[in-house]
Amino acid sequence: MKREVTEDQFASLREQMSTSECVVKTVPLASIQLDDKSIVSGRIGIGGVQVQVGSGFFQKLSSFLKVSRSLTSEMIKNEDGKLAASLMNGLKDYRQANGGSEIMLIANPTTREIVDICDPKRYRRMTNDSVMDVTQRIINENPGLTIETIDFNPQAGRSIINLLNNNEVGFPGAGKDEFFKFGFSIIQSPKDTIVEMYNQRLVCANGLRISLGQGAIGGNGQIHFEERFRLAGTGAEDIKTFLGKIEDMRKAQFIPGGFQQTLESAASTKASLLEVESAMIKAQRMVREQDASLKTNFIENLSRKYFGSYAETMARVVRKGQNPMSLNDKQKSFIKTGQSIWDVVNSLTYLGSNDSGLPLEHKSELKAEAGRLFAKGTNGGFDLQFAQFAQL
Amino acid sequence: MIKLSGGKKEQIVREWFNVTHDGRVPKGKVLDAYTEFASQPRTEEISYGLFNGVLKKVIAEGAEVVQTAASPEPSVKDSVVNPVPIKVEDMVFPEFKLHKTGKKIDALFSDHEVGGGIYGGTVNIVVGESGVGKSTVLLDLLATVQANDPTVKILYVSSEMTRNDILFYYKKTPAIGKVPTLLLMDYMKDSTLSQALSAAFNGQYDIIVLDSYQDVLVKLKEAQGWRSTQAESWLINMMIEASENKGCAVLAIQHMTKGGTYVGSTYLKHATTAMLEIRFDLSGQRYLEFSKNRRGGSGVNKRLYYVLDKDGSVVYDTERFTETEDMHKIEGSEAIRQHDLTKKFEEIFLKGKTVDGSDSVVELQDSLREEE
Repeated sequence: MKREVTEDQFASLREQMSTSECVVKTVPLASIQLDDKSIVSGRIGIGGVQVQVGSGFFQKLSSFLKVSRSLTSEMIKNEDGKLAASLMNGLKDYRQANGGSEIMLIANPTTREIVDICDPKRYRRMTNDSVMDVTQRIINENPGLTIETIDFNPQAGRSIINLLNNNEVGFPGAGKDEFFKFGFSIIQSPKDTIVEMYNQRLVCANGLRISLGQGAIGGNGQIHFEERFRLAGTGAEDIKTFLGKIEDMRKAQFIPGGFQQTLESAASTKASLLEVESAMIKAQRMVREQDASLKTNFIENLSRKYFGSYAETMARVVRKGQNPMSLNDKQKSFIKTGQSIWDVVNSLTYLGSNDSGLPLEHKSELKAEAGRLFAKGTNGGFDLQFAQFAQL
Repeated sequence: MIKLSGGKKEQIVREWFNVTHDGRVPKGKVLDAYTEFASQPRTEEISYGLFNGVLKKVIAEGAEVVQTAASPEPSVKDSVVNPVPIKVEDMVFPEFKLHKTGKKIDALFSDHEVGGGIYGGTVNIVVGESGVGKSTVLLDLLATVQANDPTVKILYVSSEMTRNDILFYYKKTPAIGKVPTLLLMDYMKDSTLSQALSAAFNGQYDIIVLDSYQDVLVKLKEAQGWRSTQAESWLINMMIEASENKGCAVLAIQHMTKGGTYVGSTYLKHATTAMLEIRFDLSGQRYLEFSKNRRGGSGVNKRLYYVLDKDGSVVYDTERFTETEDMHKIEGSEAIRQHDLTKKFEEIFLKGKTVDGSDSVVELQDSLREEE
């Protein structure tokens, strides 16, 4: 199955991304006003003008001001007017503690709501138009690269551009018929522009985003790079550094260091009940269906077909005289399932990349989830990666 | 008329008063009279001290002291300035030739024509720390301009190097073998330095490299007995005259302090067309960068890295320059886009009141939603 963004699609997506780009403005801290009605009405004052804010805005503001998150949730739930006073005090404290007199407001032009807030110095994001220019430039300079997909979520202000090197690479741990293509993803979050490694399995054309930390690439210890890096600013030197890091990745054919070792580990390690359950719940939550009975059918189908070892393991737990409902996460992390980590990763990437027949919303996020699970192999290990040592 | 008495040099001064001022002494500062006197070429070098002594002597002898056009008495009437505006199209200019090296440096020197080049009628100051390659870059520039167009008349004026020095330089950098060179050290012994310089800058050359400005000043003071301000004023005026009226491109090398800052008068800095800085970056790589350029504003503050080839010629890192230029373009368009995002924010959220006169932006938002 060939998936490639054509020039027409690229132009069309560019237009959409440009139109829905989050708008920003840096304002004096003193210009933000909250009153007793702010929480209920979902509005804040900016220099005397009342503006609408998004549903999660007050949580983000609390987090930004380091006001207790749980307390904020409680007060929002109870529509407690004291929250406004608490946040106003938080704003004053922030100004005194940081010496900063300005904050940046991020707004969604489509919903016409303020959706986020940040320190202007922490806003290190290129505009979508510039990112598309940079992508075009990378493609022109690297004829071996292809834009595989562009995932765009205007509501969240996020987009992910997946670029793949056309070279196919095989690894012993993945089986003799398995080949990979490596590349990278340019991720646009509301506040950052980030680059992450990206790869594609050729067997089923799944996509998987991974973040493996730092390491040598392709067995060449001389070439090092960060496998996830952020744009440090929008100055010429920052952009040059950013592109320079992508160039370093290109020199290593985009193969992340430690990939092969992690792959072998993922293929030979059984996933724990907790790992399977987490992946399965993540996928189940993406099922969107109005009809309740139909939705239940879809969820059951998804669980049976892609995470079959979950039900089998639960049955085994019951047979062994344990109550599966009383198990905590720690206990679940010690229980072996019949699926390997690699199997679970494959299930997630398949669901995230292909038309499985299930109504999944924002399914591409499952690829990121697969990447997180896979990367556990380099960040402390899978739950049962070292289980054999318990036998010693 | 003033009597021609005294020694040979005194007689020259006395004769000058007779010829230039009809046997009278111009009223005003002695330095002004001396500057006028020193600006004329002559074989004998006469110091300011001697000139001053003769002047006082002739006044004591009864010579008339008069107001002249060259030394006007400041008065209330004279101080009323009557500026005369001139249209550029009515002005008369020398021919401003465009000289090309065929290398990337052309694009930095000017941006009025495709590919750029070094314009005649310009005074360019080239600053840089010791050992960075100022002389090498400019000698390479002269050699390549001439190789490109043999009809261009070039001159390298060295105040620091002796004949032996230039030989060793030539061995290291054979390209300079064909560059006509004026060694000012040859004119120090008989104090004909100012005349040699005046002759060199009289319009017969298209491009002149002066190496170095500071050292020429020192030597002028030494050889001519001038004070610093006098020497500097004389040298700057000569360079400007050569560029403004004779269409010459002057490139004067200037030293830097150990701290990396420019040495020299503010007058020079402002009177020049361009200031080219040649530096080492933090990793020790050499680059050049214009900090000012009236002929090539688009090339200002852009680094052009270079290395010295085995034959001593200068090789510019064009690829790196283009890449940096591209990054600046992205930076520029990104700045505009960020500005647009802020503008859009203001339009959506903060200017609502002025659009429909409602009290609340939220009302405007609601009305916009309804329209949609």
